Order: sequence, then structure tokens, then C-alpha cells
Amino acid sequence: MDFSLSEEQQMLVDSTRIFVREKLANRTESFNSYDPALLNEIANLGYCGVTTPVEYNGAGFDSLCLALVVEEIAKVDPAMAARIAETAGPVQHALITFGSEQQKLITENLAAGTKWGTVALWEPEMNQLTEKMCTIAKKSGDSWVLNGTKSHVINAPNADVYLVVAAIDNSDSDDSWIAFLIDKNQSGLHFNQVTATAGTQPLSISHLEFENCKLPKNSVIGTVELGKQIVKSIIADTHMLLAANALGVAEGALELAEEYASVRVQFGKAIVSFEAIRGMLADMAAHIEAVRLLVYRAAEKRGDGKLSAMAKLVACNTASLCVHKSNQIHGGYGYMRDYAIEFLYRDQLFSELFWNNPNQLRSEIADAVTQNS
Amino acid sequence: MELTDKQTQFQQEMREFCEQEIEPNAAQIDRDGEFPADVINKVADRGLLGMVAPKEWGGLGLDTVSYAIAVEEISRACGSTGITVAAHNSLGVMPMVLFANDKQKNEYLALLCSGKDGLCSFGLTEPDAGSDAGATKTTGVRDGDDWIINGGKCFITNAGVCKALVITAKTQKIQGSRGISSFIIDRDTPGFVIGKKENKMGLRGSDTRELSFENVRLPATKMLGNEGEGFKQFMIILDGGRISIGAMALGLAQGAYDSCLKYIRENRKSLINSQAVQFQLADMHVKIQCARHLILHASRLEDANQTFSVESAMAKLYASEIGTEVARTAMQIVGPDAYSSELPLERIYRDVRLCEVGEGTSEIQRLVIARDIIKCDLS
Ligand SMILES: Cc1cc2nc3c(=O)[nH]c(=O)nc-3n(C[C@H](O)[C@H](O)[C@H](O)COP(=O)(O)OP(=O)(O)OC[C@H]3O[C@@H](n4cnc5c(N)ncnc54)[C@H](O)[C@@H]3O)c2cc1C
Repeated sequence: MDFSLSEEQQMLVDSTRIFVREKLANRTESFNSYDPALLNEIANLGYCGVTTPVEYNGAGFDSLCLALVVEEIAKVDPAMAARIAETAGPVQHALITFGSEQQKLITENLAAGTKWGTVALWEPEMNQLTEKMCTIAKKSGDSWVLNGTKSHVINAPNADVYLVVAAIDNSDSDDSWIAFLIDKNQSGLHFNQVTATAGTQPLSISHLEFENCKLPKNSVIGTVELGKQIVKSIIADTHMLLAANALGVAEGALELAEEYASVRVQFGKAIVSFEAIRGMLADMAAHIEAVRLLVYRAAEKRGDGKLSAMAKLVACNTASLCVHKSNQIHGGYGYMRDYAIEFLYRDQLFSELFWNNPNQLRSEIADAVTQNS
Repeated sequence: MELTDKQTQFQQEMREFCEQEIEPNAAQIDRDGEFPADVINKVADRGLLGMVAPKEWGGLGLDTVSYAIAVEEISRACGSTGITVAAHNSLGVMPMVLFANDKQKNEYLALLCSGKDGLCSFGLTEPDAGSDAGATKTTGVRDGDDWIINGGKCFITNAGVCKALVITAKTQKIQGSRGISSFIIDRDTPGFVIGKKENKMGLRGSDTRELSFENVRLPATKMLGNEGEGFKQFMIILDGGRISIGAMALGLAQGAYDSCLKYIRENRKSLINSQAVQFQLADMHVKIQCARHLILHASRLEDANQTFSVESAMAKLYASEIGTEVARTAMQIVGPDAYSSELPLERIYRDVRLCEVGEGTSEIQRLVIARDIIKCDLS
């Protein structure tokens, strides 16, 4: 078993690290949206097309590369990491895997970062797949009519295209789903931004409302029969990338803790010399190391629902542990908004609370392991 | 042990008052980040700014158990209001009650208990003296009948809204924590500058500021207690203060738990059938009850004039750590809705973080407790 990164992977990590240091660190209080120039730079660096095939304008790297980029960026800016992950991960992956030739062409724009994409799957009353989906797609002649609400869509107001999943009207089973690619300017589509979130403000998390949205036939992704498979692919990809995000947050928190503990002096010595502080740093480092292997494995096995769920469950737990310990090591200073750990402490909640929560992940993993036995 | 009838009645009154007068403002207080002057006026009208002072000095003369109940209930409704009231009572008024002479008490106590001319703060922490509060660099130098104070403090609660503060300064050039003395300093003393309000993760309505002293001249009558007693005094003050920070954390935890239950009842009834959720609720409930018992125990010891410093350290340590855990679990159960300020959960999560740091970090509490176990000096 070889745990080392390939040359290509390591180069990507190194260059991303430099970019992150230079352009994304030093966040300020008015952190609500991104400078278009910064987004342009991200686009030009190709971060939105890490795994997109070369013929569609992407870099054609493997899926671990995407996880590595998300991890590096999340060390200082989990919101940016999530924004990139959403468009570069599940949206493009679904289009490339299941989409029509015309839809695949749209990934060219997404990969180039000239357009952004996001997923609209969950609903106010549907937070896991076992619950009933209430956004309904009704066939009307050759086209479809969409009605319903999707909740907590990340980056919604800034996205140009949405991957929307709906239940097919009047079908026999609760899980006959259909996926659409919908343009931002679609008539009948309304946004409703969630009021003040605890962290990751630039993600502008919003609810989407579809009111008699008339969708042409060619906006369906794949075929009606593929709906369930598309949903599974989206969920696995998103969980894997949220796990990479959490891993990055954990590492960012550890880096800040190491730095701070070595300069902060109390009782005549740097606090890093206290065993209690050293123990916290060690716990963080050990958990991160374990999580990293799991996350990378899930990334390599892109699409593996069980591994992705495991990675998200464990990575979010570790991220929570790390931001907590790191904030504690910062003492009163960690409570002040001029310290990077203060941001991370709040941003960490994003990967933990969004998509499946720990109980749901456990249930998914339990299903998978009991089926195997 | 049960609460007395009087304590139970007080608890019910506090619950009603907080639900009616404080809780409806909590989200706004957090959003605006402004000191909640209107709410504090209502708190003052009920005498709650003088909970820990005896009646003869204008206070309510409550026992510690009732005081802890009050801080818990206020914090359950609003953390910013909770810390404001807790810091004023435990750190501002209490030093006056315990260490002021009658003349000082006459001048300050009734006024501070009424809150009419502002609150009272406690200035101990400095940029380089946090956990190691004995490393105070602020100095007091004798000049005839006066003391000249130079230096600075940081993270001082209620500093921008206070009438007076109790501060510590090094008055004798002795190594270590001895040689520290306490002074009362009025808000408008020349040379004393109160800095700008800190921008914090949580408790955003609470007024936290930096202080600086530049040749501040204080008459000898402003010294609190005797020279060189400062360290001993603030250790005693922090023992009591820890009960109130514990009670604050407990209130926040209870608030998170209640809000989570309410959310399940109103929005996601199906969750109550999940064994995973049921067990999480059970664990949260157990932790909250343990914290409450520890706080009650420490409070009763104080009321019985027995030593309680280890018990208050245990109560504060436990309540603040489970406060964070409970808030986090509550958010996990609720899911993405918990990320928005439409529910109080994310605010509570930010507010409660302070409890593991203020008035002695969790590590310092563990030192206090371990020291007692081993009965020798560990530092
Ligand atoms: C909102 C807020 C309100 C406050 N209000 C007041 C107030 O009204 N009055 C006041 O005087 N102060 C106040 N404080 C200050 C507070 O009491 C200090 O922040 C606290 O005591 C910790 O000090 P520090 O921030 O300097 O952290 P540090 O002491 O620098 O601690 C950093 C880390 O090192 C650890 N550490 C330190 N020493 C040891 C050791 N020996 N062994 C193991 N670990 C150790 C700590 O536990 C912590 O994890 C307030 C702080 C905040 C954030």
C-alpha cells in the first residue's frame, strides 16, 4: 500500500498552498461576498475543472486531486472550498457521467469558472432519502412542469446553473426521481436567502422555490430511469468533498494552534510547553492523520456511498474537535473576530450541519455494513 | 436536596420575567451587537444588579443558590444579558461587599446595586497576564497620599457602561503574585481611558473593552482592602465568579436543549421516533442535570460558609464543557436550520464558548482541582 501522493498531486497541493497563503488568508470582518477579481483568478487557475476531462476544458486529474484542492482551500476559507467543490464536484460529475452531449458542453463553462453550478436536492421536510420528496415534476406534453421548494442550497444566488432533483408526479414508488439542469434565469424560479448564518457567509445559503417552472425536455439529465443513480452519485460526491472540507478545517485549526501556542507566553514559558496543551496538539494531529487516510480513500473511490458517508462522519467530528481545542488554546483571543480561529470555529459547522447529519450518516453506513454481512 | 419553597418561587418568577422581558430581545441584541440598555434597566428595576449585596447596602441579599438560579434563567434567555449581570454581580459588586470599608461601601454599593449611574467592572486580565493573572504589569506607585497607576487591561466586561471598576496593580516590587493591590477607579478619572468595544464571536451585546492607565492619580482612600492583598482577593472573587459562569453555561445549555425539543415538536415530529435522537436527548438531559447539581452543591457550600473553591471549579469546568457539547448536539439534531439565526442555537453555540475561557480557562480549573487532589503545589 502506497500512501504517498503522486508527483502531479503533490504539485497541485504545493501550488494551491501558495495561492491560499497569498490570496485567501487574512479574511476580514466584512466577509460576505467575494471580489470578482478573486473569483476570476480561481477560474484562471483551473480549480473549477480539476477532474473535468480535458476535452471539456478541464485538467482531467483524478478525483483525489479535487479533494486535495478542497482540503487546502478549506484550511483558511471553508466557504470558498465549498463553492468550488459544489461546482467542480457533484454538478460536473453528474453532467459528465449522465448528461447529454449538449449538457456536457456546459461543463466547459463550469470547468473554466465562467459559470458556477450548485445542487438543489433537500427540502424543508426531506432531510434524508427515506423521507418523501415534495418537489414534483409533472409531464406536460414534451416538457415538464416543476413545483416545490428546495432548502439550503449553497451558493444559490451566485450560481448560474442548478442541478435540481424532483419526484415524478403520479409514479408508483416514492423514490422515482428525475434530475434537471436549470438555468438561473428560468422563469418561475425564486430565491429566499437564509437569514444570518453562523459562518461561511459568502455561501449565501438560500431556499429555492419553483412555481410552475416549465422545463423543456432537454433539461432532463440522463433519463427518468437514471434519477436514483444520479442522486446517489451526487450524495457520495458531496459527502466526500464535505469530508475534505472538514479535513482542511481541522488542519487549519491545528496550524493556528501550533503557531499560537509557540508564541503565547504565560507563567514564564510558551504555553506549548505545558503538557495539557501538548496533549491537545497531539490529539488533533493524530485524528487528522487518521481522517486524512479515510478521506483520501473515499476520494479515490469516488462514488462509494459508504466510504463517503464514513469520511464525512469522522472528518466532521475531527474538525469539531480541532476547532474547539484550537480555540481553547487561543484563550480569550480566540473569542475575538480578528483571529482566524474565530472564523474557523464558526465555519466548521457548515460541513457538519449540511447534507446528511451524523445520525443519518450512521444509518447509511449501518445499512451498508449490515447488507454486506 | 430540593430547593426551598422560596428558592422555587424565585426560580418561577425569574423564568417568567426572562421569558417575557429578555428572551424576545435576545436575537436582536446579538444581531446589533449593542449593549442591551433597556433590558438591563428592567433587570435593575427588579433589584437584580444587587443580588449578591446585603439588604443594608441596597442589595437583595440573596443566597448563592438563588443567585445561581437567576444567572441560569437570564442566560437561558440571553447570554449577553447573562454575562452582563453575572460579571457585574460577581466581579464588580462582590469585591465591594467583601473588601470595601464602610466609607467605600457608602459611596458605591447602593449606587452600583441600583445600576442608576452604570455598572461595575473588574479589571484583572492584561494582554500578557491572562491565566497567569499574578503577572500583572500594571503598576501603582505611591506619591504622597496618592497612588499613580500606569498600565493597561484587556477583555474587561461592562467597561464601557460602568460607573466604577475594581482593578489590580502591582504596588510592591516583589517577585511573583504578591505585591498586588486592588483599587476602585471611577469611570471619569483623568488619565484613565476606556478603549473601543471588542468585536466578539458571541455575547455580542456584552460590552468588552481594553483599558489604559496613564499616570492615573488615585487617592489612598481608593485602595480596596490592604496593600498587597490583591492576589488573595481576586482568588476569592474568582471562586464565587466561577459559580456564576457555571450557571451561565448551564442556562445556555438548557436553552439549547429546550430550543432543540421545541424544534422537533413543531417541525420534525418524526425525529422523536428515532432512537438515536432519543438517546442524544437523554445524554443531554443527564449532562445538564449533573451540571445543575454541581452548581447547586457549590452554591450551598458557599451559603453554609464552607470552603467551596474546588467545588466551584468543578461546577464551572463541567457546566461550560457540557454547555458546548449540548449546544453542538442540539444543532446536529436540528440540522441545517440550526445554522441560521432564525433559531437561537447558533447564537447559544457562540455564546457558550466563552464559558470555557472566562474567569479561568478549563485548564486552570483542572489545575485547581488536581492541586486539591494531590494537596501540593503543582505549578
Ligand atoms: C468575553 C470575555 C470577557 C472577559 N471579561 C473579563 C473581565 O471582566 N475581567 C477580567 O479581568 N478578565 C476578563 N476576561 C479575560 C479572561 O478571564 C481571560 O481571557 C482568561 O483568563 C484567559 O486568559 P488569556 O485569554 O490570556 O489566555 P491564556 O492565559 O493566554 O491561555 C491560553 C491557553 O493556555 C492555557 N494555559 C495557560 N496556562 C496554562 C498552564 N499553566 N497549564 C496548562 N495550560 C495553560 C490556557 O488554558 C489556554 O488554553 C474576559 C475574556 C473574554 C473573552
